[in-house]
Amino acid sequence: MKTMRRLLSIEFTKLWSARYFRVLLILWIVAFLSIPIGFKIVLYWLETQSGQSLDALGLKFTQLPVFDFSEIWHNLAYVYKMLSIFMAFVVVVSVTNEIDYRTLRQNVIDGLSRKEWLLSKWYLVLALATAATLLVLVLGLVAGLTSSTEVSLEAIFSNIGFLGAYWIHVVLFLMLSLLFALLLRRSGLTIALLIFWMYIFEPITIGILRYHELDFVSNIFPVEATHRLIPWVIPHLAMFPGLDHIPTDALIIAFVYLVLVMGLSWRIVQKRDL
Amino acid sequence: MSVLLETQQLTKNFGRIRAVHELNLHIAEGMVFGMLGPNGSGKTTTLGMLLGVTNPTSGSFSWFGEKTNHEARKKVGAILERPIFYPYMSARKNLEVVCLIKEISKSRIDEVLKTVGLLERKNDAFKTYSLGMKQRLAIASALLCDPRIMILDEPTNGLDPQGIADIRELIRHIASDGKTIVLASHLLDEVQKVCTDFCVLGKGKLLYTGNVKRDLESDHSFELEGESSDAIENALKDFPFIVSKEKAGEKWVVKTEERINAAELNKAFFEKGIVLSHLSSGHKSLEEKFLRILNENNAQAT
Repeated sequence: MKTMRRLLSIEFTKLWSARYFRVLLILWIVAFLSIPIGFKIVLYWLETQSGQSLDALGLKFTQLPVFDFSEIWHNLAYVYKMLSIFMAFVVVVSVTNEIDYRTLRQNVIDGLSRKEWLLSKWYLVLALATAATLLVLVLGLVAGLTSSTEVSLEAIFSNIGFLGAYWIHVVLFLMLSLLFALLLRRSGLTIALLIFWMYIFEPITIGILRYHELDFVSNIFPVEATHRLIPWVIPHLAMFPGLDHIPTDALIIAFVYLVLVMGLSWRIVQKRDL
Repeated sequence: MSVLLETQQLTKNFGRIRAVHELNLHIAEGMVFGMLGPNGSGKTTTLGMLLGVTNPTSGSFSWFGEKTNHEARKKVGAILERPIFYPYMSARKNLEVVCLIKEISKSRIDEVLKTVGLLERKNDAFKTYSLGMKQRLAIASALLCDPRIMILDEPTNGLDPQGIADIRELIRHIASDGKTIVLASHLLDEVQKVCTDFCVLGKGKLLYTGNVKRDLESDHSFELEGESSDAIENALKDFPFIVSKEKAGEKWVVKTEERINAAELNKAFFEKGIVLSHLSSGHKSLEEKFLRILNENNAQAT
């Protein structure tokens, strides 16, 4: 506990003075808050635009159960996992900067062990994931209590497991970014590869695999593994059958990845000449 | 004197290149130990291993008499190659990080900044510093834990003459406080001026270790001059302890047996009724010695 406090205070002393951290933090908070607010505005706009035709069908956009307990946890977790990339940038830049400035080397010379240095980055990951999860919790409670049609304790907490899934998603995704950063050493290169991997390589490969009904292969791709923890919400919202729980196999794959990714990072930091 | 730092058969290979080969060093408390060697002789690699940033291929080392880990480095002040700090952070913030790493109180920050003359600039970002200021901040950082031993690797590299003089003065000042210093340098003059002991590395091997005073001053050669050159020549013929003599202009350069020092030589002349107007013991320069050691080894190698 004492080591954790010390390592976190080292990490945050480094971060608070860094401009990239403050910029990313502000962007992230703005994006975080603007999603539910913006979503509500869009729903109102859709309702006023749609006019009579949809009213006749009895469909009201503002009455979509987006912010209803207990689906709200699933919906928020699903939406907010898209913002994980901001936190990944913080992790990537904090790691590559230390390699680039050679401050990792200097930290070790000054008496930090390589193990402690890596631990300080892991604690940063845990701190970011925990802060994000708490923010989702607070936001969910506020949005839910003001818009939900049902506010019983049971309804509020019945699906809260998705917050746990969100936390695991963030931790695994950031740990993965940390490994990328350790391997590639340059912030620009790491971010470019991360984006390429996430938005181009994996979706295309997975699309092809799915087309050939090879889901069991596509399921084990790393970023996909983090995403499958929180399944697609749209079918569920549109009253189609969809997954409304955390798939067990996704949890198992995520844990295996976590062990692999952390183990590999550990090895790299121990073995490399700084 | 307790041994602060010791290496046993310390070896590092980079692929097929032997950067450091079976190095044995002993650094005792109070030494100002110069590590000499041409570029690429393994000085920085050796210090890198001692400071945990380079993994040794084989061999071992111990700090403060025990095989230790990173905890020992918290009690060592070190600069390796160039000064490294977070560029966007102020001197003060940078030193706060060092304090947190070394688990020491932040109360000495202002004191060490004052020692190196950076107190007024403590809130400015590191990237705005000149090279000399950066180097001085590195020394401040090394002083932060009030270390028993300091490692300084090329501390005057890239500095202007004033900067070099400042750093040299600072090192002398620190050494006079009784701190043990390991100074790696290829500036021989610098080592000669501040070190008590030295070693010479070449191609990763330890070629020589010695004491600066003993090796350089006990050369037993003297330069002398007096009223009458002939009287001196006659006297020299009579002295039994003269090994060789040679005339260089008006001066005589003589070598004596080892037991003779300048005072005894002067006394011997005085007893013969000769008053010397000039007598100096010929200090060999470290440069001479260094080049000879390297040449001998090159000759052996070929």
